[in-house]
Formats: sequence, structure tokens, C-alpha cells
Amino acid sequence: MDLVELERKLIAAARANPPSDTVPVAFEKRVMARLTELHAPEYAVFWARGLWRGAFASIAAAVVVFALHMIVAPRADESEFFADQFESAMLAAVDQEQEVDL
Amino acid sequence: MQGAEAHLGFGSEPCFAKLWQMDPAELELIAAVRAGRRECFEPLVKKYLPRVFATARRYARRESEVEDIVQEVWIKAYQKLHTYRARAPFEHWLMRLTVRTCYDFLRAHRRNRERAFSELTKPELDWLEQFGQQPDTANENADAARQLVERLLDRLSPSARLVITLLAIEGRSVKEVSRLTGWSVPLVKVRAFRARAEMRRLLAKIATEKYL
Repeated sequence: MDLVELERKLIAAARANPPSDTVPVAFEKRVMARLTELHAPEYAVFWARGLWRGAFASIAAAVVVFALHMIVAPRADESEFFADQFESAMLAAVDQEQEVDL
Repeated sequence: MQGAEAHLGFGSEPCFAKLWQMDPAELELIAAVRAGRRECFEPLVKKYLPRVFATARRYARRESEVEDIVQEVWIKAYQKLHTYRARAPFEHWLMRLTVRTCYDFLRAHRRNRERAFSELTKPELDWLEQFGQQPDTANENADAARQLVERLLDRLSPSARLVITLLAIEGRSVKEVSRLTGWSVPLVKVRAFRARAEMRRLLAKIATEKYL
């Protein structure tokens, strides 16, 4: 069987029989109805989306502020703090004795 | 003209020559849809439905599938209308969208293509028999020939079917196919070569199964 000729004949058959361009009745109405359905505003979704965005924005702002605080605010040296406290406690008794002598 | 272009909202690039070739009423409708008047889309839909249906029927057999494809095309056209730049007629833009939607359909609905050709009907077998004996007498206008080629196309891979349909059956140029599909010209040529090879393998299988 000559396959090249068979291919040629079958392609010619497809060319000779183009598909129909008939349109079902009122199909454009169906398309428009579908578009209306797809683009109808969903108020619940609208509000939910807005609230979630607000929540995420608030959390992000809190994180940023906290990070800035941690970077910018001076951190007390804990060892110096305890040393000062210890010294004050130790010398408190001496200070009290001096006051009594006077 | 520049004022009209700005009014229609098709970008700032001057394309006056192209605009002259286009239907001004159509451009007005598109501009109105883009401005939010959805009802202006219906005349466009009605105008191009036959063309879109004819294209979809090349790639789907069941009418329900054809209607699904056509509806999908128009939904995408509406959603992507803001990307239409009026550098070419609206019909070209729409046909590009249609071909790509049909291709997506083919890829999503790959059926079992391994059905044996022993399911050929008697008229198809008779036509092949006649072709085998006297190729010149086998009528390419016969229903059997048409059914055979549809069966053959159904068996091709999506890209092969698309390129054979556009190049061989619709008689488009490689450049046109490239524009319609979004594939580069070299890719179209490679796919065309592979599609023809695939088709020859299927035809060889028909010949083998018929004579077994």
C-alpha cells in the first residue's frame, strides 16, 4: 500500500470536508450569562479578603516595630547592672553607720 | 487620529495604518467593554461565534465538548481583552486565543489513543480495500475517507494533531502557525516533521492491521 498516496488522499478528504460553522441558538446569551455569573461581586469574599489583609498588615507592622526596638533601644549591660546593685547593697550598711556617727 | 486612538485606549504607539484597516465600530465596542460596559461584548461574541465554532470542531468530536471549548474561548477573551493592542485585527487575536484553547483541550483530554484499527467500520475497510487495489479510484470525497482521517487525527498526539491541522489541512504557512500557536518557527518545523513521522507510523499500522 502506497502510504504517501494514502496520506495525501486522507488529507485531501479532510480539506474537502471543512467543519460546520453553525452556532446553537442563542449561544451568545449563554456566554454573556456565564460572564455575568463569573464576575458577580461576592461581598462576603470582598470583606473577608479585606480583613485578612488588614490582619496581616498589622502583624507585619508589629514585627517591624519590635525588630526596630530591639536594634535601636540601648541594652543595659547586665553584669554592670548586677555589680552596681551588689555594691549599693554592700555599702548601704556602711552608709547607715556613717550617718549614725555623725 | 491621535485623539481617536487615545479615546479608544489602545496604547500610545502610533499604529494609524493598522487602525485604518480595522472596523471602527468594533474598536469602539472593545473600548466600551474595557471601560466596564460588559453588554458591549455581546455583539462581538455574536459576530465571531461561527468562526470560533468551526475552529473548535476541528479538534473535538462531541458537540458538548465543542460548546465547552467555545465558551472557554470567550471567557478568556473577555478576561484578557485588556491585552489586545489593536496592532492586528481583533479576529487574528481571537483566533490565536481559540487555537491555544483548542490545544489546551487536546492536552487535557488525551484519550486512550491505542484503540486498535480493527474497530474500523465496513465502509472504511471497503475504502481502504479499494485504495489498496486501485488508489486512483478511491474517492477522497467519500464519507469513509472523511471518517478515516478523523480517526487518524484522533490518534495523533496533541501537538502533532494541531500542526497537521493547521499546516496540512488548513494550508497555513509556518509563520502563521508560529503566530497562532506561540511556538517559534524552528519549533513549528520540528513539530511538523515529527507529526508527519507519527502520521506515517499510524498509516503503516493501518496497513499492517488490515492485512493481518
